[in-house]
Amino acid sequence: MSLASLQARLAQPDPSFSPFFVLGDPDPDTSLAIAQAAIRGGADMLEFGLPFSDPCADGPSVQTACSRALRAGMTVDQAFEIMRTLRSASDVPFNLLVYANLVHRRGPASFVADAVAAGASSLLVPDVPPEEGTELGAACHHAGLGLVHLAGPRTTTDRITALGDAATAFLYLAGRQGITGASEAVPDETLHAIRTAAAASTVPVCVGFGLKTRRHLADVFRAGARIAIVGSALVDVLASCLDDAGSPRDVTALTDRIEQEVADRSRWSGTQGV
Amino acid sequence: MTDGMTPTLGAFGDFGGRYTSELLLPALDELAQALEDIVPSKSFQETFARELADWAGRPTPITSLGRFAEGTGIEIWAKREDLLHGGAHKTNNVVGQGLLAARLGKTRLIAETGAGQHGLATASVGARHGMETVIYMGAVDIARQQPNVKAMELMGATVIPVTGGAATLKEAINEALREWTASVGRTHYLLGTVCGPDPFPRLVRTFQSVIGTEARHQFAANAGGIPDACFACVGGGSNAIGLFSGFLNDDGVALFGAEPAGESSTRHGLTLSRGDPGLLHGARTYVLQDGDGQILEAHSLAAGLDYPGVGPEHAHLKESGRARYLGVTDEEALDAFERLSRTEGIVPAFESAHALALARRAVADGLVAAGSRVLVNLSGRGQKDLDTYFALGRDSESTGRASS
Ligand SMILES: Cc1ncc(COP(=O)(O)O)c(C=O)c1O
Repeated sequence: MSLASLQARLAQPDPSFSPFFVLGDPDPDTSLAIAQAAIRGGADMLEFGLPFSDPCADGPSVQTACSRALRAGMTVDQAFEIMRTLRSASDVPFNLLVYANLVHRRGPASFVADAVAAGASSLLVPDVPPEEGTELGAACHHAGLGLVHLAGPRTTTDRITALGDAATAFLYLAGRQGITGASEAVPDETLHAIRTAAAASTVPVCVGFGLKTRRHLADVFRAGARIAIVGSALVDVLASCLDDAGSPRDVTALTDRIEQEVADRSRWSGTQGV
Repeated sequence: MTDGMTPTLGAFGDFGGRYTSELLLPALDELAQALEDIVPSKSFQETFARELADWAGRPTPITSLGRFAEGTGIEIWAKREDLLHGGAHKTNNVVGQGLLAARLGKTRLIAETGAGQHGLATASVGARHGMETVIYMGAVDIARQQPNVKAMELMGATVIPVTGGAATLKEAINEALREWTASVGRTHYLLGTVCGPDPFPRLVRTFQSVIGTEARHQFAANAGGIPDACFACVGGGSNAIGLFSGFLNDDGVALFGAEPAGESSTRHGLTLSRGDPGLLHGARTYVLQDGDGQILEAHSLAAGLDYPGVGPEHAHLKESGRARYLGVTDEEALDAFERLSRTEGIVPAFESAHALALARRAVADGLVAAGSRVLVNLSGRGQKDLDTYFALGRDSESTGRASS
């Protein structure tokens, strides 16, 4: 079971680093090669976004990644196909980040069943808060898919506890009040929020939104995060390897670069520093 | 429902809800609380009514359109929201939300706009309250609604072009939601129609219901009794909800929404007639989408109708059968635009022209019986559309027709 592989990973003493990519970015074949490179680079978990036409929680980097993937004809079935291919060769846990309408369209039970069959460990639907997520929660529970809930730096302690209780995989703490995108430093507000969340949550705390460098990872791990996700910064690296039409100039150079970027941020033992 | 997703917060039947990021929930809670505590209070209602009267020019009249109705077999009355300050019904909502934002201690307003009417209205209340105002507007709409953009800037608002996608209303809402997520606290998102997460559909409906309340009294006074049917155009659906709200409990009043059929069977904004249930901008409602759930682009000559979603209450009114929604093409809307100009000396907004066109063909379509008396919401005036209209080159043709 993929949820079990996530739980085994989270049970290890060292924290987990996860890169984030939009599946199908810049095209389905290259996207598969990029994910394989990230696994070679030593990622402890992979977070995959399914491209969506209206990604309201995302900043410019991920918005553009979604557009590239959709322009390349990416579909939900193809995304699951890429995951199945990866899963046949690796047991790295996959967290899926999916906007609600894609789940609604298939129906939560069907969507979740398809995601589990494709090898997903857990699912975050950023625009379904627990109050609106009864059916989704039931579907995940039934299929054995971990459920992730989102919290923010200003979420109250009581609410953090409630979100953690409603989640079955981990709590995803947005590192800043706003949308995704790489920042130059981890604000004190975020570090404080991580410490609070780590104390208040019954499930492990994952931090994403705004992280970029190995130093950022060290900071959030030291504050108590068990998973750290780097998204926009890696998507920006990917984008820098594309030509004006959005096609990779050189696929091998691109995947080598991604492997290196992931390796630079991987392999934590204990909570050692930079 | 075995494999569905049904909303719980602020639902209209199986539609509505609060499908948004956790990061926005506190702001939505605050607003929902204000809708319960502040909006119904005597002091708020008095200030709202006074501001609508003294600053915005309410009540707007209803007008009998005798010449426009010729040949249709029915009597047509128009609710004149085109005469409201700002030139469209959008002003009702911004007056209400502007006051509410001030009561909540907000110092900054952000808003999306399609046709520019809502941006204009928001800029005007921003100026009136001395609040910083930022308007998100699709780059395509900025190009086709230049007079409105300049007027927003004149009133001190900043207009931010939104690119990406179709660069129209949907993208402007996406960007406003993103910006609001980052700036909640001192910023109020002044959403311009009855779409979006709860409580916006309820909040905007509350402020727009003045249209229906007034129209009901005026119809009784001027025409006698109640109309047989009401017609309104539907973009997000606020002017339609405003008018319909006055007659929802009158089973004898048929309710019709005019959706933009655009220029062809593939380029339209027929959300309710051709779409199906989905989640967009925080609500479960009808949307135009593909098999995966990717949202499709809508198309309409009328920028204010160019939206692939619709307010959740309309989805409910459609499912329950209380209201019906029919398509009106760009061409039909242009005919009605010209006809109202020439027969009554009133230049309607392209959006409103959709409702007028539907009323004109109501008997032919079997929507109402000959001899019926109907009320059309003339949601806005057409000044903003003149550049686009003249660029179509129809005016030389029509002048020719008129003089021949
Ligand atoms: C004059 C006019 N009518 C109608 C609309 C459509 O909005 P709604 O459906 O919310 O009334 C607009 C939107 O900009 C408008 O400017």
